Amino acid sequence: MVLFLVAAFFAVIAAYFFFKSEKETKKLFETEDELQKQTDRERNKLLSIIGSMPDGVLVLDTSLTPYVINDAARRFLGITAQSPSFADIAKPFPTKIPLAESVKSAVSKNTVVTFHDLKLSDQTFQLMITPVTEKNGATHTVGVTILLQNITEEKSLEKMKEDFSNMIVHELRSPIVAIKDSSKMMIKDDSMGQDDKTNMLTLIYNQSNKLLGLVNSILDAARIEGNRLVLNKTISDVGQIARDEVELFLPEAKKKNMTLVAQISKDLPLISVDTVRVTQVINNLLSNSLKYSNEGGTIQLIVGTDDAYEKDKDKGHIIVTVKDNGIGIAKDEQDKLFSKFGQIITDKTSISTQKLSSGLGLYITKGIIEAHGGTLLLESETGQGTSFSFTLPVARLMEHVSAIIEKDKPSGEHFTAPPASKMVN
Amino acid sequence: MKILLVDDDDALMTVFSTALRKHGYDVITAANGQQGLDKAKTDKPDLIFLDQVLPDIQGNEVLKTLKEDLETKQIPVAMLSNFGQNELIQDAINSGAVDYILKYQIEPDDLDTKIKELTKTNPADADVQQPL
Repeated sequence: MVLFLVAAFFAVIAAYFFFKSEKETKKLFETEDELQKQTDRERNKLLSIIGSMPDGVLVLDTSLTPYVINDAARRFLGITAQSPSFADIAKPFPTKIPLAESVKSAVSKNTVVTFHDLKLSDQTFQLMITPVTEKNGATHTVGVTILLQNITEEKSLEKMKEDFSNMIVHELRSPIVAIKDSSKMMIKDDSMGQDDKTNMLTLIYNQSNKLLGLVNSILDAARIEGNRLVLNKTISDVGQIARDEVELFLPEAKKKNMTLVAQISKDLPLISVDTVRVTQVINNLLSNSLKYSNEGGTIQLIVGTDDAYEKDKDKGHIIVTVKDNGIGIAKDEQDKLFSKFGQIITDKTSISTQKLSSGLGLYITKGIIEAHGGTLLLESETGQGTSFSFTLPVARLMEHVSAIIEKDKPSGEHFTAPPASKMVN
Repeated sequence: MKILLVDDDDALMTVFSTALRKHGYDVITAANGQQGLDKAKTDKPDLIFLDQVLPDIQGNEVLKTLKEDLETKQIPVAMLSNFGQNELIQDAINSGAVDYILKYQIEPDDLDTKIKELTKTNPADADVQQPL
């Protein structure tokens, strides 16, 4: 695209000179005036296209005099001078990528010179130097275009992906090693006592479950990333899902001496969701809360509706909030929490003091909620606790379906929806 | 002989301690760095297997603390790790580890031989380090 634009630009200039020499008569002077204006308009159009490109574009003639420098190039190279010299442009380039030599080589060999890993301040660029040729009788090089593509984000994504695969491989390997070692011990040691045998088998069972969970998470994350998450929506009672999950987590909470309470509005509409997936979400949030809460802490699961639903029962959302008074999440950690690479906290040695887990939980949770047309919100303060809320849109339902199931619904306390939380991601 | 295992990986701890008890070792376990430091002092183990990634303190920091403390500095420490990068190994050895063991490479059955090897070389090392 850039090359095409630059070539077109030169073609227009060439055309201008061609016509100028051809038309000498006074009568044609007006035409030439017209042509001049036309050429200027085209030139300005091209310059503004080049100027507003996100990539840095520079055009130099063969004597290395800068001809065009767009805003992005100025920004990337830190050029402030109105009409910079070649030295101004070449100055920021590292010694291992000397600009003058690279340009000369591109011109003399009439070839494209590319560098894939140019570091300018803290950004990474791809640099491409392309000779510009002009066909005027014989073909000759009239200059070069220099293209600077900012690939910092791609590079950092690449790095994250690498870290992520490393972590996943490690996470998968640990349970496999444990299963391998313990089964080998059982096979080789005939004299193993019953207690040890039970321990080994329990370990094999637990580690297999852990592996299965990890593999499922990896598959879920891949589905979400590729927009291939299929929802099996049925008319569901989110309140009941919440009650069941609280029931499930009560023993664990008790063991950690924590209070787990459910506050579920009795006026919840039935909505169309994938019950299995919503269960998975609530399970993930409760399990996180339990993991990051201190002994004696309190976890609340609150299910209610928003104001929009109060105004019009066919609209609005159900809001589910899991709130704890645990260790909380620092502000600068909050954003990356939802990324696929969430919990990877790398230091110089690429390993973390944090307990590594697949880190996919919140990424999957967010994906499931968004696939339902809802939003996942986070409010947290270090040391104050964390509150995750998610919304699920209330779809228009057939009244009688709602009425039939209404009879069987257990009653709960009345509940007022909390004020809208701050959106995090 | 008393062995202290410091690791937060329950599965590995179960496998290792079962294997070690089978060979007649007295096994003490700690699930985090602080516990490891405390038990190293109170239980005076003959050897410590120390995981590199712990939930509270980095394994290497635990190692340094052990080596700075007069009460624990003579106890040989073998690092356990899932990561085999050279700089990590070098860091651990520089901080005073007698060995760097990759968790996925060591078989529970090899632990006995490993311990004998590590505890045998220790007195010689200790002699060298004695001030004149």
